[in-house]
Amino acid sequence: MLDQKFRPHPQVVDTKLDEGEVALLHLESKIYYSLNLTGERIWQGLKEGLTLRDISQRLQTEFAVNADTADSSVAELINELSQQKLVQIAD
Amino acid sequence: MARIVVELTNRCNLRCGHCFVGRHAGTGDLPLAIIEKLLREGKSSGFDHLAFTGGEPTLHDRFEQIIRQIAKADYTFSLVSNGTNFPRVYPVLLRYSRWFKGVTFSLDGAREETHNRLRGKGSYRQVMRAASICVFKDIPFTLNMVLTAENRSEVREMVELGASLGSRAVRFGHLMPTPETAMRGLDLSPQERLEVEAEIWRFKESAPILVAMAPGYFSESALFPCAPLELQELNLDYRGNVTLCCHLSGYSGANNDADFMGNLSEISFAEAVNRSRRMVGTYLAQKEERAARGEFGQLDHFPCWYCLKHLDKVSWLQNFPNHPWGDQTNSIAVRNNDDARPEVSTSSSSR
Repeated sequence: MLDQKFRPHPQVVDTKLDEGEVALLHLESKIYYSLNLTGERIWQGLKEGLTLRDISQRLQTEFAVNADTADSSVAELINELSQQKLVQIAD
Repeated sequence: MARIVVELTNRCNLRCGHCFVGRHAGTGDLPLAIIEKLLREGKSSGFDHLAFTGGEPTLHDRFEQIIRQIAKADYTFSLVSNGTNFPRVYPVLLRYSRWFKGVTFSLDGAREETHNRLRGKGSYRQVMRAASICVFKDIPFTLNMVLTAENRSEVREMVELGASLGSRAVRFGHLMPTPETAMRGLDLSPQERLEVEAEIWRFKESAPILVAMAPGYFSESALFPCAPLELQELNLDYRGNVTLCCHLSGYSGANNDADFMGNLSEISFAEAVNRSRRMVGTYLAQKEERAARGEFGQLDHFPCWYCLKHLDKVSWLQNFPNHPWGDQTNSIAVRNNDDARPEVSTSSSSR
């Protein structure tokens, strides 16, 4: 899974808030979501077209966490975002 | 207390298909000296709220400074915005939240493609971003749709969208016909207006949020009491001109002097209010006389239309012989069984 790339669902509008948060709005369901600072970094990585492994490595550097912690943070969030149809697998 | 609709700037970063071309020509910002004069003199004439429009009001070069002065003078304020600049300015609004009463976003289609067709590619998502900020920062917001031939079938969707997004209200308003809207085929006929109004009054009863119509809808009364005619609202354009109503200000191809009270660089605000009072008195007396003489046509029951005609702002219709508002004998089927139709509504200031 970590070698996969995901991208924001085309029907999702993202809005950067102050304090590093991101608001997501799915235009079909009209449901809002929010991402905390860690989530914002993961979301940003998806937008940049990074693999999940690259994103995890970025988290390790920026938040001084070990690989296991970063990997699981990324995987958990991607699962949740996938369930809510906020991301999709990139080709 | 009454309010002043203030066109902070006529600059705009969108080029909407239904907008007044002359009004938003991008030629200037309201001078700070005029704002300061307004803040000094407004309250003594009974005005304590400023409703900002434009152009896009947040594009005024001194936006934050103006908001700071408003707070210092203890006026309340609100604004109508296309949402594009909201991510940049909302921190200012939060800083002065005690005086800030809310923002209305112009959304002219419940569907992305409809809104973008009128307002430009990407503009729908800009409004959605602005709404997201409001929800997460607890900023009161409403949505405003100008009814056109392109979006009239989306009334129900618009109400549902507003409720889903967390908007406090959805407000609909009729498009002011101009040569530009006539050329684009955007104007609804009188009959179409009545049909969409009936739909809106129906939704108003069952909607989970407030649904309202801006003045301009069909009124049985010949003397529809909109805020400007009740002297509860005045308009100030970006040049400092005080005019009767924001709907008429800068009206495309119009007789611009008909509703002009004076410029605040030359007269006091109290004098502008006095002139407005005299003009409204004359206007209402003439309107009443016309109605009493049986000279009131069916179309005259659309109050904004009556104003346009009375103030000689629709002579351009001669160039559009097939325009639905050009035929003054136009007969419309009026239904009187609509208990939900209000006779009084709060005024609107957006397009």
